[in-house]
Amino acid sequence: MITPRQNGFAMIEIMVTAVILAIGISGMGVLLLKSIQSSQDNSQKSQGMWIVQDLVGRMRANSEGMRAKDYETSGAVDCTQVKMCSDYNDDGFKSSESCTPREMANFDRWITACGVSAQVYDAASDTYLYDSPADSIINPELNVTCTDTTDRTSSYSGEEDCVRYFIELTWDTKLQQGAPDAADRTFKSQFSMVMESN
Amino acid sequence: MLKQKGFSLIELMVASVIGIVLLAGVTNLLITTNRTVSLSDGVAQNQETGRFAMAYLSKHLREAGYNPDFIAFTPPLLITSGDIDCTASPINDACAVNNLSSRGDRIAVVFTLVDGESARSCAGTDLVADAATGTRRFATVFGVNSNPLSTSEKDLQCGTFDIDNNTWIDSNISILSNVEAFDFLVGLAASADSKSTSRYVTVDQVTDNNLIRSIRIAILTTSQDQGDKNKVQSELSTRKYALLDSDYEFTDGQLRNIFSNTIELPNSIEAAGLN
Repeated sequence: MITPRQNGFAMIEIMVTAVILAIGISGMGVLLLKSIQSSQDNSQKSQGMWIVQDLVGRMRANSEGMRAKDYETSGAVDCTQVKMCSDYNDDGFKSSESCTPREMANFDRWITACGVSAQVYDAASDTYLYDSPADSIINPELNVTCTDTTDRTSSYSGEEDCVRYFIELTWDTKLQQGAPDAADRTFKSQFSMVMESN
Repeated sequence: MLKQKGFSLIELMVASVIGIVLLAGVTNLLITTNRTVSLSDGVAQNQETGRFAMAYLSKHLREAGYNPDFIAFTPPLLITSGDIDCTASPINDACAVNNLSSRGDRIAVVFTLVDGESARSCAGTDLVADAATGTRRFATVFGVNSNPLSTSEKDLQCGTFDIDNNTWIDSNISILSNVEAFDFLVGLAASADSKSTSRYVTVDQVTDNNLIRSIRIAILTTSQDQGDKNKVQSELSTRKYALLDSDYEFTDGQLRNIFSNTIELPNSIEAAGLN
């Protein structure tokens, strides 16, 4: 009678399999993380688009300020509170004041880049406050430049009318771990568009 | 006799320990995947709802004050002004009003049709001018569960009101769900001949319909409720969302987004003076 010789797996083989499996599973985890990051990224892109779209609407609604180049930014927008040209909510309804085109332009840039209250999280009351779409993106930076003028001078500034603006909104996006400097750990994402008027 | 040798107890224990460790890892992964799916789903739903609602609202609100007869100016909003009195029924359910319910405001923009022109109502009904007078005014009405008031649903609804015949053509047509609230402000010019907006106010502060130059809208989107076990946000802090002049507070861990837009009204801007 012939006895078939049976050989099971050796312990070491099982261990190697387990290690390979673990590497595979952690790879899937990274995949998940990436998928969350990109869907978050897309959502922020879409928010960024609407924020810029909103600013374009504001500029068109304030054509005098737009023609006078009042929407141009130089460096970061100053986030100290400006004259409020719009009714707003800050722990209840707050009323607005009537503004000149220049004050309106100032307000429009301010509310686009800063939002009503700079602080999103209040630790004392454990409350998150979102009062602007800009609150759902991190460190929004607004850059508006006038790129073309005509020889017509119809605004109060006395300068040539601005007919084309370049608008760019930049914000921080996913974190890169392991970079030595804090500045290297963030990536920037941005949305820009050219706006023409007459 | 065949000699059989099974596993020893030690081998069996080591094998099951390794098995349990692997299984725990896989289970963990499964739970995380589940959460990721609800998060991605929530993000996608918010984004889609916001994008569609804003595009739809912006397109229709921009028509405010439309009148093919350029001399005859149509005031852009349906509020008490001129021959319009917003106190009687049924027009009182169509007029623009702030803080109508816990779901925000109701907006109504007016446009005029003349003989030979046609347009579609909110639900696709053909709109034509009155045969006798050759003109007719309509209002497109938007709100979240604006009429009748109901606090359970989150539908953005629209309706078309025939102002001259004082009757609804379509009312309470749901356009899309998952809109938590809708708010708007109107941009007023400082004087009748100014084209620029000098101030954004609530509609009850508007004294002259002809001064309206722009509309600011904001919506708060949400995603389908996933039930307690699949909340998108695990820590249930209070989240307060300010839409223009109103605020909304939630402590339920649902994902929400604010979308806002400013719509300049070309019809009333062109009708203003040359400045």
